[in-house]
Amino acid sequence: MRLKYVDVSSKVPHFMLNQLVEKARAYAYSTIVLRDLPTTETLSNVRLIPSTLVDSGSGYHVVKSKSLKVFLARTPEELKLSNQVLRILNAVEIGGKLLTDSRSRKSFVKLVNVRKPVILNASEIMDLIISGKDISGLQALLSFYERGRITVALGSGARNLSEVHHPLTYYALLLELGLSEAKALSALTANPASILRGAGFDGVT
Amino acid sequence: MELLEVFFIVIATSALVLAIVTLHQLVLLRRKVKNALISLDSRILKQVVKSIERRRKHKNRYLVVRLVTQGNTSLNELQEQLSEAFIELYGKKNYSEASPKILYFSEKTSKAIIRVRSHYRWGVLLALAYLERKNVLNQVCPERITGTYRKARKYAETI
Repeated sequence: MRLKYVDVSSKVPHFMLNQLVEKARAYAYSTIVLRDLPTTETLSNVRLIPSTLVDSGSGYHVVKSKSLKVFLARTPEELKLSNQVLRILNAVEIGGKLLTDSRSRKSFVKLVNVRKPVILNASEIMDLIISGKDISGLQALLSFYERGRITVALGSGARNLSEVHHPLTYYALLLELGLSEAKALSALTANPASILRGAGFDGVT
Repeated sequence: MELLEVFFIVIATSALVLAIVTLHQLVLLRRKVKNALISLDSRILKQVVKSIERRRKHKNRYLVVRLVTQGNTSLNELQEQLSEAFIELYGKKNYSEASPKILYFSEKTSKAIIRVRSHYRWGVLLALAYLERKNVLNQVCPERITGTYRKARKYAETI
């Protein structure tokens, strides 16, 4: 059985859409979630789903639009989620200081309690590894995931085409970070699909 | 009578010295047992077993990868770039342990066979991804991981 993958966070500029779809098709992606795409569309059998950033001031217009609602948190202070935001959002995207600071563990406990899935950007993780920075925050988050206390989905987080990699490369990255094979595979297949189903996008495999 | 007293005192003193020495030895032994128990801690034991396994199993794996390059890139150039990327990510020590080597590259099928030590097979994929990020390679599609070169060659020759 050939697996179909979902890229749950892509930031490739919209003028590169055709090239992105071509590359995604070669890499067996069935669905790509793109930041601020106007509508859901299908190009060359690749489904493109829009995602919207949610902040504490988000109102009715965000709820109304059919897209994946993502809350972006880069510092422990930003991870304070109000009830209004919690009602709207589908997933929390984590990056920046939260991945590098070992004291982020406390913030992740809050995230475990609100039971919201987490999206990680592979591109950002690769940047951190290449620059030799400390990734103890990320290790703490992955230990929560390994013990089944939180749901993690890995997206490419690609800002340009060269940052879009084959899903097996992301699988290799997760294994190198210390995850088990089963958890690494579900972070690339089952978890992104369940996040999208939670946002009302059916038929994602 | 005095001689007997002196004899008893000598015996008592030597017994006392012996008791002190035994006690001291006991304390030392207890410390050694404690250290041995600490080293038997499951996590440390796991690490020791892992390191022994790493030393013992020098099994190779053959990665069949489809590499789409920018222009005409020779096998030697690819090997050089892969080595540089691997060293940058994992360091020279791990590179010498992994010893990744491109054995075959067909421009017709654009597939390559990379031999690597079993423990570092995922590391090689990350090194290739690093080359993709640096725009050295356009596409990297891992196709198969096999245990023998013959099987890898079979997959690499089919389009």
